[in-house]
Amino acid sequence: MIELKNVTKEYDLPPGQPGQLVAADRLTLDIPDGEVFGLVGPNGAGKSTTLKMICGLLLPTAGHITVNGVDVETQPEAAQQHIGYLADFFSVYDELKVWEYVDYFARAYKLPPDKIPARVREVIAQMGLETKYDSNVATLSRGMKQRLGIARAIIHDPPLLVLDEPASGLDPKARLELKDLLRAMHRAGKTIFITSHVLPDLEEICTSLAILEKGKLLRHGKIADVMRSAGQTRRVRIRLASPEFALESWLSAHPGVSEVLHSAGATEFIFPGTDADLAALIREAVLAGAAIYSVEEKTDSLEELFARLSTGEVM
Amino acid sequence: MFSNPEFSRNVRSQLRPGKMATSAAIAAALSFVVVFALNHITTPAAGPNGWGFGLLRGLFWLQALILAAGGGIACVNAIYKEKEQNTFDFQRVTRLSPLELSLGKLFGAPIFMHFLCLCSAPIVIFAAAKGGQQFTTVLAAYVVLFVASVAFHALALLLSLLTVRGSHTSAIIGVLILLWMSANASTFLSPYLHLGSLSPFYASEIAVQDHWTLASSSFDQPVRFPLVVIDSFFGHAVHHFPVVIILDVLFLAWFLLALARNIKRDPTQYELYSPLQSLGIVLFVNVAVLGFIRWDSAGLMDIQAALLTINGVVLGSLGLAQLRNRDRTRRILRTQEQAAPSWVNLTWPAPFLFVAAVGAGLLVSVAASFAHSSLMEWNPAFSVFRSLFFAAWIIRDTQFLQWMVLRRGKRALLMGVVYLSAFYACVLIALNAFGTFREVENLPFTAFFLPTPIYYLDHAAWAFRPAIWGAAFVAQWIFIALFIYAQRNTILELAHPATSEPVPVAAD
Repeated sequence: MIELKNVTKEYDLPPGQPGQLVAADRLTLDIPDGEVFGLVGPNGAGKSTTLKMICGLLLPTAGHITVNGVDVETQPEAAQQHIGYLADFFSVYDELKVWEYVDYFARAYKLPPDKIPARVREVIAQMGLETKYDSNVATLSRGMKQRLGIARAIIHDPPLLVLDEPASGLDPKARLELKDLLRAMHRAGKTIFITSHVLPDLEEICTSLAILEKGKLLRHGKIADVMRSAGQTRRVRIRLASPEFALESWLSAHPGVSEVLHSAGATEFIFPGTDADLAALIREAVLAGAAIYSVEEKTDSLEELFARLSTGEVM
Repeated sequence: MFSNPEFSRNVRSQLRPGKMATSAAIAAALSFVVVFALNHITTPAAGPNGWGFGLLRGLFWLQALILAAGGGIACVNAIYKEKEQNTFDFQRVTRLSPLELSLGKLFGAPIFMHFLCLCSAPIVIFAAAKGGQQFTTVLAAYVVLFVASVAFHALALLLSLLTVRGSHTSAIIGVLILLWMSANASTFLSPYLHLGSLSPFYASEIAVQDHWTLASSSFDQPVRFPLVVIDSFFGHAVHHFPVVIILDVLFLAWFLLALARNIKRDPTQYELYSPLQSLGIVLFVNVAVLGFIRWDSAGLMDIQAALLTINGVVLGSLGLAQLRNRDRTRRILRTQEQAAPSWVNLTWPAPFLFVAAVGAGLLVSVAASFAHSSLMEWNPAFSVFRSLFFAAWIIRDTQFLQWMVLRRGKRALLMGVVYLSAFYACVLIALNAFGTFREVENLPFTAFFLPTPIYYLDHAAWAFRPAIWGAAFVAQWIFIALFIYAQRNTILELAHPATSEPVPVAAD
């Protein structure tokens, strides 16, 4: 769906600072159809710049971007019909009514005129704004305006949604609703390109991600692959039904097991082997007399992974 | 137009029923008061047409003010405010074509001003009836009012597109000054041009015109109410009404072209016109000006100086439009195939300006010589020299600005313009103090700094100090070479920035 080839965007640093800022440094990405792709990075990493280049709002200093096979630079309008875009900070036309706002964009995206009224009602209902249908946009809350922004982005039913911090400013309930909405769109076959500072949210909904820092891609790919490639260790937690068996000492004697700890009624340890190795280990422990009733695998969260990567730990 | 979404949005947001009703009620009340007051004017004081003509003229002047000034300000706000509110990007990513978006804003942004004019239509009709004016004349006045205003709105919208944060108030003031200048341009240019006003205020003149026949009028007569305004195009008397419509539509087309070319572009990559289109504008302005020139009204040198001044303004503006900022230059350098920047990129915009300025200079010289073939000695060498000197002056200043724009710093172009203005102010003061303008033999010295002496260069002036003229000419090219050298160094820095090696790692 989205293809970036050696995309570079250079800016000047503020006067007084020598050199230039590379907001995107030869980015090469290929995002297939149906992915929910998260772009993660600190402020100033180049996330919004990358999104704007994908939408054709900024031209890259070098490189090429295609959306659904259409070159964004040479055929911007053709590419933009495949894109629904939501910016991080945006306003809406306060002087319009809710339906007028959505209707305006339905016409701007050139939907068939006879289908516009029904589509406007459908999208407004999908966003839960049907009670505000005839209200002035100025009277909406921040969360409602965010939903109205999403309504605008999906009015033309684009195959690709490009969302820049869509959860910013939303209350917890609205964030849950947004996640549900994005999941529903994913199920409907949409490709979603999303940035967010709320990494647990991204972890829940994304199928792939890229970690961007200072314009450079640190990692990208399927979430599990990114985690694995980042050298993530497998931490296993075992709970026993009865404490008679000395699991800590048994595990410590086992080759390959390290950092055995006992806390809160459970034993945790690091195990570098495969899933089959772990299964064999557990079988051995049971045969040795351990009354195991629970085995959990504890993985690094995206936040932990990002913190490790962005501090240069794995670079 | 009513199917244009951007136009409809403006109509919906600006023309709410309550607001429309209030505006219409206020307009009706004002109309009633004015008519009631004027009805008490005695017939001798009001003239042979009663007060109808006076009111008609005043109403059209007021409508021109509302539509041009009010609509112009609305247009200046139109794109700038969208950019400020972060709503403009959402319009840019829609499927609206650049032309549709431009037209939607052009007619939509000033829609409330159009409505106010519509509110005054009843009193206009009443005044026309009272003065016994023909319906077709009133209609013609409305056509002029509308077309000239729309052309002005297109210019204001273009300024809005180019307005950056902090310069919004200046843009509004600039639009009002431009309106004032366009309203008075015919007064400034009447010694040189057989051309009436192109501004919306001309509608107030045409509204009280009492006939349409060319025979009863002459362009040697002073243009005063209620005479018909006559232009002379290449010696043929033509009515000003079609001229103003055609010229305003052509100006509108040029402004709209720049708007549509850029409205959906990345703001760092704006390029008002392509070099070829810029040459087209130079040709258009020259043909228009030469077509209406009043050859017999002044000395040939004065006319030639006026023509070169007009070309200087046009080429200066187009030179500004051709300047490349750092972002554009970076992109050109990164996307070009060659390893090193080409000579065109290193010297831009000098090649474009050289062609345009030499062409314009030669066109003016040749036209002047043909028009005055019996009165002047046509010297091809002087004509070419004058054109090259004129080109050198334009290139020198533009190349300086190009170098400034490529340097790092806040508001680089503004600083460049300020430095250039300060340079000219100092030069004028210094040269005045030395009295170089008063003595003909000293005039060549001023040619080192100012373009005006070259406008008046003829064989007699050359004979006084040929070496100084030559030195002044060479000095211009030395300055150009210096600015190009400085520009080249900046471009080479941009071409080879110090960047670290990226190591993108794919997880899969």
